Amino acid sequence: MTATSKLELRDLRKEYDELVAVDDASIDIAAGELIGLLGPSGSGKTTMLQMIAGLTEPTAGEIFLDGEPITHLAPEERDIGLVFQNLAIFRKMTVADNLGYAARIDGASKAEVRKSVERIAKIVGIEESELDRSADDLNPNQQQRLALGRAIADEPDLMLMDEPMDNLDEEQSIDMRGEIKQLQNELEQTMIYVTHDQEEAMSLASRIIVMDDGQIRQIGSPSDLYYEPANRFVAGFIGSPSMNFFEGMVASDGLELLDVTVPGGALGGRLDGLAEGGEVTVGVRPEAFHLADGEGAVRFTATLQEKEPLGSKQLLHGEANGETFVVRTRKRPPIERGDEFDVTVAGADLYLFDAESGEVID
Amino acid sequence: MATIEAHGLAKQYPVDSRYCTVADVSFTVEDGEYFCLVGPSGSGKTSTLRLIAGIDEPDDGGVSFEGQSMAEMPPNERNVSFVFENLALYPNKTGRQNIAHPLTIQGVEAADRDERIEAIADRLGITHLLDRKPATFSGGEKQRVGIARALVGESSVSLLDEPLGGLDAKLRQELRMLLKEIHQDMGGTFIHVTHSQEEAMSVADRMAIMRQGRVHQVGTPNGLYDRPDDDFVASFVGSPTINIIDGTLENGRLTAGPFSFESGALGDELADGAYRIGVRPQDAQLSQTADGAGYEATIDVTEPLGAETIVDLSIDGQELRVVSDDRWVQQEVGIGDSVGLSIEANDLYVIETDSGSVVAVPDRGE
Repeated sequence: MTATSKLELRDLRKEYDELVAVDDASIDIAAGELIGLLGPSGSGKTTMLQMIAGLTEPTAGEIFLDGEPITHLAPEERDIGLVFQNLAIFRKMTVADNLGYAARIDGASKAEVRKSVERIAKIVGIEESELDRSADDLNPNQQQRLALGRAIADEPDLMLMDEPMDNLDEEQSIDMRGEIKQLQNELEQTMIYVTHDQEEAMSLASRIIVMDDGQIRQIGSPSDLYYEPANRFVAGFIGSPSMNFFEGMVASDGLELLDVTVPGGALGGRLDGLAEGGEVTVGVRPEAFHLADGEGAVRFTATLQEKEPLGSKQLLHGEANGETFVVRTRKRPPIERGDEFDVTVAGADLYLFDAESGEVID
Repeated sequence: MATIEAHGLAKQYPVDSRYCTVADVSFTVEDGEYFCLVGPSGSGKTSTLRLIAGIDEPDDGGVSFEGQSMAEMPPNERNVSFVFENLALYPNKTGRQNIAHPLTIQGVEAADRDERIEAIADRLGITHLLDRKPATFSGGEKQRVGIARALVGESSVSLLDEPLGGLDAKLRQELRMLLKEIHQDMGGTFIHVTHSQEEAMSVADRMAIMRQGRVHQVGTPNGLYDRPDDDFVASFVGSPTINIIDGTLENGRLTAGPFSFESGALGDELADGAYRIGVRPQDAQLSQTADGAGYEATIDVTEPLGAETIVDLSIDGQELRVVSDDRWVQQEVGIGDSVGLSIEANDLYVIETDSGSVVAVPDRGE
């Protein structure tokens, strides 16, 4: 039903005086793809979205929608649907009038408008009994569905969603993201979903653009970003609890980490070409630590500082050699605050990053 | 120095009040304990906290501190500090003056006051806010100043109403650990209200699960997860929510949807009748093929979260949510694929359908 288009960004740039909000971003988004645009606040993701929507004029670069340049078109000439966190709904109108707005503007007959309204309401899960209520009377979850429905009713080439779930509580947003994922899959609507929440981006998108400080740090599938982060920023931003980072030093016979030396062989040649005495940042995912009985190139003793018993998993906050870190385990080790415990990590589960640039060493 | 007991607390609020009815609430919080009241909205958590603080008076029942009834004790004499969800900072005062408020009331000397303010500000990472006014603070900063104000007085009892509400996930995780550490150092009694079971589990020594003005169960976080008394607690504790499927026990077999188990393997001897089974998403196992697994399942949708993947799947039309730590699930499995699924009798929570009571739980070896 919905027309759907591919989007290309070529060296897109936005400067505000001294500040480079978006630094020469180039991205290809396939038709029908749901792509996440993820970054902390101030990373440039909203500026990027505004340039795509036509709300902000780029300093340089080009935007193509289905091969046609749209860089200098007005927002209303772009056929792009927007769902923002401050909802775009007419509060004084009924739900049905909101959903039928686009069809009415197109001059559809009364019966056609009603048919379209019912179809869209069904897609976004608005009950028929809600259709004649005022939009203002809906709860936040229903209003979010309505905003989504309005955007879908426009049948845009591209849909942009900017933190659309910020008004919802945690449970509602988990339900809603599952629904958006299924909906997007059914409609094959090209969609860019902006969020600062890495879990939301991971669960929804087939690929994610990670931005920081105006730069694209990595583009990849959730699994790529998690297992093969390109740099320390992505490694630390993706995953919860966050990756643990330690200072390491290249020695003649391996890598010095905490009070142990990891033999070079356990690191699969990743130390080759690094100068002895050089510093590297070592990253370990909380679940890569194994307790006592595990085998691993790195084995050390830690002191338990805090424990978070979450039922299905336990988070252990440990300290060793002055460094603190988090261990995630499905086991229930019988240790309490102040107790010592042994942990191991396999060499292959250590991520190495250049201490200066933060780029991954692989 | 501050064991707190709530016995038979009841309080009816007017219909248009923002506070919800407390029907019958009893629990004991031990001295120095970190205790959480957790439940969905409308369960009466905040009302209970107000009754403990003495802001409202109960219609029935009462509160005692260290065995002494608080019935005649006004709030300001209870040695209790309170963080409200919508904490109101004084807009015309600086961060420092806001935090100083309880110390000023206690008559703490200026030099000592500054030292304590700076210590707590340092722990909460808000030193840079001390000489600024609240209008310039972000939501998270206001929250931390409010927490600092509540904790700086080192009252023997601190009551925290959704102290981490409205913050984003990373900040919440960080601050909950900080609260736990501060509690550890201060040694007072904390009662923390939250709607988030994960937040409660992460900080609490013990927690009370509330619904509709009543306490369903009190226990340790892992204890409630492992041994819920009823279906409400089983569903409320643990994320994602436990799968619950209607079933029947007869002729020595418990059958629920496509799943079937020998009832002898369920521990206690159960009478024939209607039961529901509960399967925690982390307790079912996935395998690449159905060979050797109990069931064949079709993938409906996967949500990769990094360390784990949430998988929604169907077995002969029965939907089930599973969480897997396996990397192949994250990297190789797509919508419509077929996988093997194993659920053993020892993975089950068995719930009596009529009463909602949990009559068997998995043996987690503890």
